[in-house]
Amino acid sequence: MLLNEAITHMVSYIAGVIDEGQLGTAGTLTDPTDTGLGNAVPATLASATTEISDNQITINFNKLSTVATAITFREYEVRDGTNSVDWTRFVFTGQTALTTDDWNIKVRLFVKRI
Amino acid sequence: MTEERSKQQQNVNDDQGVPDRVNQLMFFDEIESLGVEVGSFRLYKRDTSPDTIWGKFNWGGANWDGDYTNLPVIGVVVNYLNRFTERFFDSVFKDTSSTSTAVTWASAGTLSFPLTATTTAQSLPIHYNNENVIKATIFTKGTTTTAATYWLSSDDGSNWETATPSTELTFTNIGQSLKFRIENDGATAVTLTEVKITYKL
Repeated sequence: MLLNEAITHMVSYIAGVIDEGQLGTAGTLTDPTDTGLGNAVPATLASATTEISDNQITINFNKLSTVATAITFREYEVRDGTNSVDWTRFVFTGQTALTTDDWNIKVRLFVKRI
Repeated sequence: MTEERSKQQQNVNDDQGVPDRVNQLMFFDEIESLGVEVGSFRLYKRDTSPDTIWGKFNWGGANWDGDYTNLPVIGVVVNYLNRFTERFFDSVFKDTSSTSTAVTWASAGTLSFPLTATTTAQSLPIHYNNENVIKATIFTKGTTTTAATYWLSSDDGSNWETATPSTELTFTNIGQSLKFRIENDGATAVTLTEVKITYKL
């Protein structure tokens, strides 16, 4: 049987390697073969932090109001920047970045037995 | 059925009457794997215009309070494959103003209702501003979960519709803000360890 200790180690590993987030403008549906954002906006690439609660990982990312404004974003990804690995990509209804608004994005991952 | 599973089933059929071989193949399903479940994506926005270029501080002004003027507001919430799971390890989806203070939500991995009174737990939007939610199904895990009543709302809580666990609900009142509400009967201690909601747009 897979021991809890091993799962905890996997959670720590994932939380340790995910360190970046980025926004993009492509609204194409996500696909397992995606290798990143459909149309990344380079200025939005920034560090992300992770929090662990049991086997749940929350990834926290901020885009300040001074960055990449007047752009309508439709996609977001979390990355392992050190190893250039794209972990997950989300697509959403277009959100236009205003010069007045700071953005905060949170993503949840959960490691479990299957 | 995957190709591997088809072969496995064929092998079982071929080996009927050879118990050891059949047993060996049947135990295949006990192999354990580890998976990463992709959960919710939440985007919040905060209007910082009253806070000046100094961020949350108004330099020399009356707003030197170390805090932002405006609270964050929800922009969009989506879930991969339209599946949301709450395991109660944090309270980010807890609607504090609509959840009874006696209800325990967060940190311990459980949602617990007290035995002594009828109490309510209510979520913030678990899907927001990303197309209308037409149908949804709630699934629960925990102790004496049948002693609770479950509601779902597709229109930000304006209309709550009774949901039977594991049975698909077709919303009468449709919107783009999906929430859940759970109420105990006041006579039974209810503890939930997981609430999963699948929905269709």
